[in-house]
Amino acid sequence: MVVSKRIKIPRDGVDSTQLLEHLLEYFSNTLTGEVLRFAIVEVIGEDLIVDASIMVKDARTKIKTGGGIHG
Amino acid sequence: MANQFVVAHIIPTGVGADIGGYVGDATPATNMIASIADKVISHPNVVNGVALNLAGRNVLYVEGYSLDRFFKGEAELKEVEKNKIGVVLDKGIETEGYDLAVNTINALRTVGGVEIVCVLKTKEETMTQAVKTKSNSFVGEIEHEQTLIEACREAIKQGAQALAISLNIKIDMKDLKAYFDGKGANPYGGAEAVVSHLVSATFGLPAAHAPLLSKYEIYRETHSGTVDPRAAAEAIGPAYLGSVLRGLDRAPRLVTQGGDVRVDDVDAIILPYTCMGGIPALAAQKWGIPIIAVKENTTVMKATPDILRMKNVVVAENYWETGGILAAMKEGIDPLELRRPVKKLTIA
Repeated sequence: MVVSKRIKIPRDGVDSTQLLEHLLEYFSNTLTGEVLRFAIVEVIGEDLIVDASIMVKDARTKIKTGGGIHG
Repeated sequence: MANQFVVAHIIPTGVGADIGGYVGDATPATNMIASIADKVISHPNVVNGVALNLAGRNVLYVEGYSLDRFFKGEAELKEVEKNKIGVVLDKGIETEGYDLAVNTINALRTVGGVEIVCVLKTKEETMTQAVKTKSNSFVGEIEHEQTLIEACREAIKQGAQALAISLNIKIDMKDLKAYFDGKGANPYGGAEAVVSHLVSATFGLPAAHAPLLSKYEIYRETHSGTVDPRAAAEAIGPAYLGSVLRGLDRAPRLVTQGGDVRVDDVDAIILPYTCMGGIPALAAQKWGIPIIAVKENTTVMKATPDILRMKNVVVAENYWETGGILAAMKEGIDPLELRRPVKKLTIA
């Protein structure tokens, strides 16, 4: 099943050149399932607000990180 | 790709982009860019105009997930003369929807010379639906994605080198009306992108999605009166597979090495000003690729270059300015030297 989820991710002062790795690392550490599609949709304070589409198989699924929001 | 000027033109799907948020309405802007650049890397949302796909020959049609892999430096683009295409249709709609799909496929074969290796139906309904976010953009959810994967696998067995997917996406008809009135994002867009991302992620082949409409939806789309001009291509006949098949016919394949275009060949990326939060823009920051942020192309997103504290971003008010900036870049002229006042240099 592919589900959509809004996630708040602290920026932790990360420079823009490191933002992509920062997000991918956050997904791999915190989410179960494969992130097919994501984008930062807005920023509130120091938090990045991200919309993600995630393929969920089961709790043991190893995360892989993926795409942006362009079709 | 030495001595070639390569530009990416990205407009995210389902975010209500003023240009490119409808059906193929960013094609003129893309073709303007393609008149300056040697190659333009773009994606289905930008150039799919229902039955029409009028993108220039030097526009590379790359699905979003593949585009992300390309920008992350995981894959390269290999251009092809032709792809054999497999078509996968959702189960569960009335005959009228399938008739429209098959007639569209046959039209592209007989008029466009597109090669179709098979047309398959999923074993069960995928139950794909559009989901509206708090930002008023659209994303998508799929309940039975395995039935889609199985059908795609069978199409590949039958020789498909690219996959055209057409699923029935459940939407709220109020959202469709708002869209046709020019007051809301395309409700199909986000779910379409999720479907093509899923297929590309699973098989690594070129893929794109076209909505498969129910009898009622076909009636609604063709009896909506005079719609927003940017949605007119839908109102005259929802033969969505047309643009997808045209795009996939020559879509580049993804390879891990030996490709024709690599991420370090990209000279600039053009995006709406409020859409800096996706992989292409974030990867551009990582690789030092200049971004041209187009302000006039408004969306419901709020991820601007200033709020994300981005560097190496040139703001263009509109696509007219974008053309000038690109022409300067191609000639090796710093675009800022074309403006006044000239920034004074100081010795640090």
